[in-house]
Order: sequence, then C-alpha cells, then structure tokens
Amino acid sequence: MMTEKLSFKKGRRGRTIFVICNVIFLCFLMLIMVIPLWKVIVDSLDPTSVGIRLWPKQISFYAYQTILSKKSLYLPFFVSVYTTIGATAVGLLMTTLAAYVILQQEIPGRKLMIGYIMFTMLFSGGMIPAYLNIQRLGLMNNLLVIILPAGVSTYNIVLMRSFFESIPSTLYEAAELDGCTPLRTFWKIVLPLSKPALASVGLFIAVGTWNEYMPFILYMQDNTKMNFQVKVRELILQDALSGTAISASDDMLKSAVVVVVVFPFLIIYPFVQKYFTKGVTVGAVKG
Amino acid sequence: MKKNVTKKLVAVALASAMAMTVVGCGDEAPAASSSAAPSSDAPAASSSAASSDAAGSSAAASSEAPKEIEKPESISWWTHDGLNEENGAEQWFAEFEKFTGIHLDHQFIPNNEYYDKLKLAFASHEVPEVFDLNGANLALYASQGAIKDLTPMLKSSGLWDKVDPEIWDAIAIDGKVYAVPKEVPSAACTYVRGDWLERLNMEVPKTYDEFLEMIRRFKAEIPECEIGLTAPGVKSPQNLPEFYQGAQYGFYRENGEWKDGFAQPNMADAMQRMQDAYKEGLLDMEIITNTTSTCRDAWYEGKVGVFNYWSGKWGGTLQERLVANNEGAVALAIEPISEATYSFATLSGLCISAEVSDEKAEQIFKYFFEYMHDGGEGQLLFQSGVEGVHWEQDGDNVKPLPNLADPSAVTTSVWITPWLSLTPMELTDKKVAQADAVVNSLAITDAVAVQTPITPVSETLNMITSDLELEKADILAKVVMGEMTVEQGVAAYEEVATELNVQKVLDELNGK
Amino acid sequence: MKSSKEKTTKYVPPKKNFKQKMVDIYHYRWFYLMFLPVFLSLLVFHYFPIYGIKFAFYDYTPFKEPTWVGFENFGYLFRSARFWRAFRNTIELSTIKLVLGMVFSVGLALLIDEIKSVAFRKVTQTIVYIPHFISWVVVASIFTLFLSPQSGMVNAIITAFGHEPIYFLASDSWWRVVFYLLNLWKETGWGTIIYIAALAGVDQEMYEAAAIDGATHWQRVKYVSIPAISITILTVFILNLAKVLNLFDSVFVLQNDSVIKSSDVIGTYVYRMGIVSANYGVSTASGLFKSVISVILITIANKLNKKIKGEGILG
Repeated sequence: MMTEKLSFKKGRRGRTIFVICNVIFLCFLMLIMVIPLWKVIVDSLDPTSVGIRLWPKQISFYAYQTILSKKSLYLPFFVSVYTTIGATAVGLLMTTLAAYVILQQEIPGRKLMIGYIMFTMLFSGGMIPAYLNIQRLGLMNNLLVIILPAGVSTYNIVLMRSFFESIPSTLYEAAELDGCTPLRTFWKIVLPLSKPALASVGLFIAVGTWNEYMPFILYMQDNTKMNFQVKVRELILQDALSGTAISASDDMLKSAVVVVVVFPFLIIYPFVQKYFTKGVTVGAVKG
Repeated sequence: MKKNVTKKLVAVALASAMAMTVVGCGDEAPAASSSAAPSSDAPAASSSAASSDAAGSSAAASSEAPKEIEKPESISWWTHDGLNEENGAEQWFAEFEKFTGIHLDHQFIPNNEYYDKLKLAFASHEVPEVFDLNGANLALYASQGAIKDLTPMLKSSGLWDKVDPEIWDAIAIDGKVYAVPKEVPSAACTYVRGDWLERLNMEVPKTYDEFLEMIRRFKAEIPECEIGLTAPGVKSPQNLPEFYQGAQYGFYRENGEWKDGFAQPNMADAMQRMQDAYKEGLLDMEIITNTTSTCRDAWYEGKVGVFNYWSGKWGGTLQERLVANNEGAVALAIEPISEATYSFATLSGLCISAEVSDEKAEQIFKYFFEYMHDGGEGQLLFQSGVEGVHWEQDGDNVKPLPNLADPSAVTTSVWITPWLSLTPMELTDKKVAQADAVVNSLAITDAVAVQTPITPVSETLNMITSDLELEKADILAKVVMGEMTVEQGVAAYEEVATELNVQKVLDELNGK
Repeated sequence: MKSSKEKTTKYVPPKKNFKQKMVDIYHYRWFYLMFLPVFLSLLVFHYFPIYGIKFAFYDYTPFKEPTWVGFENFGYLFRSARFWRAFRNTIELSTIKLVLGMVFSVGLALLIDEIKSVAFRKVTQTIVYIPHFISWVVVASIFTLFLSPQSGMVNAIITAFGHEPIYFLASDSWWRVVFYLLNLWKETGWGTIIYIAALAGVDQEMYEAAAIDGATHWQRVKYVSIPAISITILTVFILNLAKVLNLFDSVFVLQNDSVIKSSDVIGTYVYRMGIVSANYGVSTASGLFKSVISVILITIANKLNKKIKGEGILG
C-alpha cells in the first residue's frame, strides 16, 4: 500500500504533525492494552510473583509444560479449535445465506422472516427448557450442540445484510441478465465482494464460540468434550474451595491458561486483517 | 383465512391452559406430603413417570427393610472436588470396585457450575444417587423433599455414635440429618507474623487490647508492615473473630431459637470496634474491596501482620509461600483471644437423592457411606487413595506419593482429608505425617472451634434476601469506613428490618 | 455503502394481488431454500424451548411440578424499591457504556484508518483488541491492584503530584468512572473491527471525487467516511440496545459493599435471590421483563432511525 509522504514543508505540516501525534497516541494506547496481559504473562512464568511485578524474578516454564503434556489441558484446547472452526464455517454459511435473502426488498414474507429472526434475539425460554430441549433431541454430549446454532444470531445476520447493501444493485441486474440463479449470484458475486464482512462476522463467530463455556458445562457429560475456556474458569475460580490449598505452581498455571486462551487470536488476526483493506470492492463496478 | 387461524390459536391456548390447571391441581397433595415426611418415597407428581431414568429406583419399597442388605451393583455419584482424571481417579475407581465389587458411576462437574448442573439434573429427572451439598443448599433440598432423611440409618448403623454429636447437631435440619459429612469441615484461625513478634519481643496476644496493641506496634515499628490486619471484607465473623467477639452477621441459633445477628447489641459493639480499628489504620484500608486472592497475595508478599484463614493444609501453604518471598518469616497460628472463638466452616455432606428407593438407599448407606468411615480399609481408600498410586507404606506411616497432576506437590488426600476424618482411623500403621505448620494450626482449631449450624429455609427470607443483603452490606461498609456512626447504622437497620418484615422470617425459622 | 447524504425514501414494494404474489413466490423460490438452514436452526434451538417463557407465571423449581401463580413472580421483583433502583442503574450504566464505547470505537477506527503503513496497522489492530479476550474476572483482579490506594500504580502517580490517594473502587463517585474506563479499555479495540471493515468497503471513488472538489482531509473524513459508515453505526447501536439490560459480568466482578447500592443492576439483584432459592419462575419473570423493555427500546430506536435515515435497520 502507499506510504504517505511526510514532511514539514508548509503545505503538509499540519498533516505530518497529525500523523506523528496519531502514532504516538496509538503507541500509548497499545501500551495500556498490553500491560495487564504482560502482567499475566509474567505471573505465568514466575513462581514467586506477587503484586504488580513487571519483570519476572525467576523463570519457570512449568505451567506451559504442564499444558502441553497433560491430556486434561491440551485436549480441551483441541476441542476448542475444532468447535470454533466448525461453528465459524457453518455459522458464516447460514448467516450469509439468510442475510442475502432478507436483502431482497420484494420477496414475499420478508417482514415475517425478519420478525422471525428478531424475535429470537429478544425472547428466550430459559436454561431449563433449553436443556430439556437438547435432551429430547438426543443431542446431549454431542459437540454439534455448539457448532450448529453458533453463528446464527440476529446481530450477525443484520450486520451481514448491511454490508451486502454496499454492493451496487447494477451487479445483480447484470447477473440476472446473464441467467444466474440466485444461488450462483450469491456464490460468484456476493461472497467474493464481501470479504471485509465475511472476515469480521467470521471473526465474531469464532471468538464467540471460542469463549463459550456454559453450553459445554450443561450439555457435555464426558470430560473429553470440555473446551479450553471451561478449564480456564475451573482454574481461575478454584478459590471457592476451602480445603484445597493453592500452590505456587497452581497460580502460575492459572495465569498460563489465560495467556493460552488469548494467544490463538493474536496470531490469527494479522491474517484476517488483510481482508479489511480498502479497495477490494473497487473495480467491480467499473466497466 | 385469518379468522380460522385465530380460532385455532384460541383453541390451542384454551387447551393448554386447561392442561396446565390440571397439572397444577394435582400438585396439592404430594407437595404437602413431601415436606411433612421427606424420608418416605412419596414422589412428586413429576417423577413418577420419569423416575425410571434414575438408576436403580423402583416403586415404593417393601415395608420391612430386609435384614440382609445386598450389595448394589452400581452407585451413581457426582463430585466437584477431590480426585479427577488427572490425579488418578480412574485407578481409584478401579480399586474401589476391586475392594467392594461395586461399580461407581461417577461424573466430575466443575466446581463453579456444580449447583446449577445439579438443579438441572433434578429438573430433567436424571439425578445422581449420591451427591454432596453444602449448608444453604442442604436446607433448600431438604425442604423440597429432594434428599432422603438419613437419621434412622445413621442411628441403626452405629455411625451416629462414632461421631462428635456437635456435628450432627450442626448439620441437622429440624432435628433430622440429611447428609453425612465426608470429613470434619475446616476451621479458620488467625495467623500472625511470628518473626515480627520476636523482633519486637512481644508475647502472643491473649486479649483484645493486647491484640490491637500488637497490630499497632507492627505498623509503627516494623517497616515492612504495610497492612496491619487484612481480610476479604467485613461481613464474616469467621474472618474477623477478634472484632466480632461472638456477634453474628446473619441469622443464627441460640439455645434453640433463631435470631437476627445484625440486630443484636453485640453486633453494634462489633461495628464500633471495626470502625475504630479502621480509623486508626489497623485494618487494611482496602478491606472492603479485597478478595481472598488479594489477601493471600499480600500475605505472601510479606507486608501483612495478621491474617485469619483456614487451618490445617493452608497453614502449611501460608508458611511455605511466605518464606519463599521473605526469608525467616513465620506464619504463626495463634490461639483465640479470650473474647473470641474460632469457628468451623458450614458443614457439607453426602446426600442420597429422594428418588432412590428405600432399599437402594440402605444399600448405598451401608456399602458406601459406612465404608468410607469404617476406620479401616474403606476409610484408608477414601483418605489416602490407592496404594502405589497415591501413597506407599513407610514404616508406620502412610507416605503420600507425588501428585500425578502436579509432581511438585504430594497427594495428601483424595476424598477425605486424613486429619479431618469424621471417624477415627483405627489401623495403627496408617499414620499421616504432617508439616509442623499444618499440625500447629490444626491443634488450635481442633481444641476450640465451634460448629456453625445450617440456616433452615424460609419463604419470606427467599423473597427479601436480595434487599436484606444489600442493605446490610451497605450499612456495615459505611459504618466501618466511618461514613456513618454506629448509632446511625443501627437505626438504619431497624428501619430496614421493619420494612422487610424480618420478624416474619424469624417466625418461620422458629417454626411458628 | 448507500449514499447517505439525503434521507432515503423508504422503498415501498408495490401492492400485489394474490396471483402476482404466487408468481413472486415462484420467482423467489431459490431464496426460500436459502433461508431454510437458518429457519431450521432457529426453530430447533430457539423456538422449541420458547415455551419456557410461560414459567414466568409459575412457581417453578427443579424439585416439583410448576404451579400457576399468575403475576406473583413479578410481584416479588416489582414490590421492592431496590429492584427499581437496580433497573435504573442498569439503564444508566449500560446506555452510557454503550454510547461511550461506540464513540471511542468509531474514533479509534478512524485514527487507525489514517495509518498508511500496513505493518503498523496490523500491529495496532491486533494489540488493541487483546483486552476483549481477557475475562472479566481476570480484568477485575488486575485492575484492583492497579487502582489500589495503597500500592497501585495510578495512586503512585497521584501521590507523586502531592495529592491524597483515591480509593477508586470504593467511592460512589469514582466507581462509575472506573467502570466506564474499564469497559472502554476492554471493548474499544474489539469494537473497531466492524468499523474498520465498514471503512474498507467505502468506495474509493468518493474520496477521489471529494478531493477533486477541493475537500481537505478532515472534510473528507467528515463528509465521506462518517456518513458512509453511519448505517453501520446505527445498526450496531440498535442491536446493542436490545442487550442493554443484560449487564452482569462486568458489574459483578467490580462490585463491592461500599458501592453496592449505586452499582446494583438487575442481573446482580436476581443473582442474589437465586443463591438461596431455586425458583426459576422469578428469574424467568425477570428475563421476560427485560425482553419486554428491550422490545420497547428497540422500537423507539428504530423509529428514530427511520426519521434520520428514512428507514429502520430492518428495512
């Protein structure tokens, strides 16, 4: 991408000052965002860490070794990965389809469909009926319970639709003239042009699923099907038990799992970020 | 077309309304009987159809308990602490089956969601046969007829006599015992920095005045002492025995009668003491926002002079981690000052679900409950675990092996903490060695601590608890921090108590 | 994005008779098929259990069959002045948090958008959205330390300037400030994702056209960028309005006895009730109450949206 020409010459001075201030401000912001996480990282490495210590006195990788070696810790991690990927794929597909459908101004029953979706955002039956429902469906202890309903939320669908609206209608008309079925139009035109939308909603679904813990606790009976977030909560909220003493390594482990649960998205984001670059929709209209 | 749809909807609505009332009417009788006689099998209208799910239950048992109690094939059990798959649960269950021939159908639930899941289990009628409940929940489940009355079984089996009667008294609800504790609960005792006492050439305080003086001198003469006494909040007489001196924050029972602790004159005295101590800077300035974590962390850092916490194993931990950061430091458990007592945590215990048949309940009681408290093989298994996996024989002692989950620590106990066992261990070659710090704190609490009885359920209390707790917390915090005088606090509470009709709660608790 | 310079007049589909409608349905048949997955998913996972709402009118515990009690559950909640104060707190805390959050997220998104270096953008975006992933329990414990009047960094700076330390979390006036700041800290970065995505979708030609017309950089931001994403902003706002009453986690972990009156929200109020009883009827009633209020809020907001933009977020 283009890098801006910065200079202090008269015409561009204001702009340059702004850019510099902006950069400083953003760096400061990043520092504020990172420091607490940094503290958690330090806590995960230093068995003697107490209070606000920003540099470890000792370093021990015990906590991370434990996570890598203990089945009860790395298995949930994989469960998390599996359910997140599954939920994102399924969720994105269903969300985009639904969004595309409500986009159609003239489709009969549009208000009904929109109402159908919105109602679920506002009203819910509660924990017990939901639980009994899953039981009756025979989906207990089945990871599909997490994957299937995941991305389908009013929020995502409405958001997706508002992104779709930016695609000029001329494209649709052109496609229709070419004889495309709605499905083909969807596949060949709408999706490729909606990369920022897919990226952001996809990210939302992924993060939402990754952070879920309640459905796992409610519906999974095998410990092998718990996800990582459940483990994180278990460890952090261990304090509630009076009898079990918490050793230094337990405290390190607590911090380490917090780091591990954040980690994947730090890595993923730079890859996703490229979809947020400008100009992706340009060129489609010209010619 | 529209009219037909409307008609249909109305018909459906009417039908469902009628259906609901039918179910509603049928409820009257069973609800009454289940609260009057929780020990009987009277299933609520719901469970009759669905209870075939509950493992092993059947229709009402025969009227005479068979003299010969058969071994059950399996028992379902939910836990949320103790062993889990990482530290050898599998091996343990295998060993249990080997010894007893009974298969334990076990599920581990993360502690934080345990009670939610348990309630769900009840709602969906897939209840485990054995599960543990703590104080408040015990009262709730008992009042709903969800757990069996174990008193007759306890008495006839002799288990009753082996245990300190204070415990039965504390865990009983309306005179009946619904749960058998796995172990004696932990008690809390006060720890002070023994090394600082030595430095100042001071004796362990024996009265309140001496206690305060000690804190004063800590703060004045010990530079590292940033915090005199710390605690996670001011609402617990257990954490601040020296200040409460017998006063109670919530509802408590005295001579068989339930009273409102917050309204008693000794609570006003307690508030005054805390206010004065706070003003003088002897209490942690952040006592209101502290959590147990932050208190412990401050203790480990070495800047706290006095901290009240669990005795026993925690005594050891407080010492170890303190020393890791501060050479030569000593976490000294002290005896209570003359005006105060230490108390045990509220009891929790193992219960048998009411959906289990009487016959099965007896089986469970005999082969599971009695077994774990038998003073011999069973108790050993529950205390120390599997030989070779969790412990090994070392002379006359049981030597814990490294914890399978965390090799830097040892597995001192699996389900029952050996030194907190309900019944004494009779095998002579199975002693458990403990660190001094553990022993010392235990000795103190064992000698003096007092059990905390469970508050029974009261409908009015359920209704007003949100408001009551809000007001009490607010008043106490404001008084301690000096924003309100004690007189104002007392007056404010009187208003609240009248407004919320606390008297009705007391009447209900006292069975009027 | 749609050109939002003028109010768009609402698109009103022409009225059709039955036969025309059937033709349309046939014409759109593929779309109905495309809608099917979502329809089924919502049906099975949301609509099947929705009968549970009726329990708001029942005495509903896990231990016995539910019995009809009419509005009694609502009575439990509504009779207490403290519940209404919690309600008011919920609305105040939640809406201010929402508005602040959006203002800052949009602002930050615009600032990040100004950065031309791709590397720097990636780093910034990645780092500012980290706090979102740290659970509130952890956030609360860390910031309690930072804000400690005895040993916290913030007060260290304050005392260095010669002032008295401030016990932030225990002070009625400061607690809310801290609450908003912590929410901003945690969610601003995450909130920028959607605005950055929206900005990425803005037609570059519009910027070029404005530049040709002689607009300064700021005018381009004000008259092109912001209007272009205004639909997104309003949509996000209205959608979040539906969840405004669900405030719980952040309050629960930061609450303490000193500020309990001014920080109590519906969620924490009902939570305390739930500790000693297992009455799901009351919590369902509370949920129903929240749902109804949310509907009202959304309807009002959507109507306002219509006035501003010419049509609601749902079209």
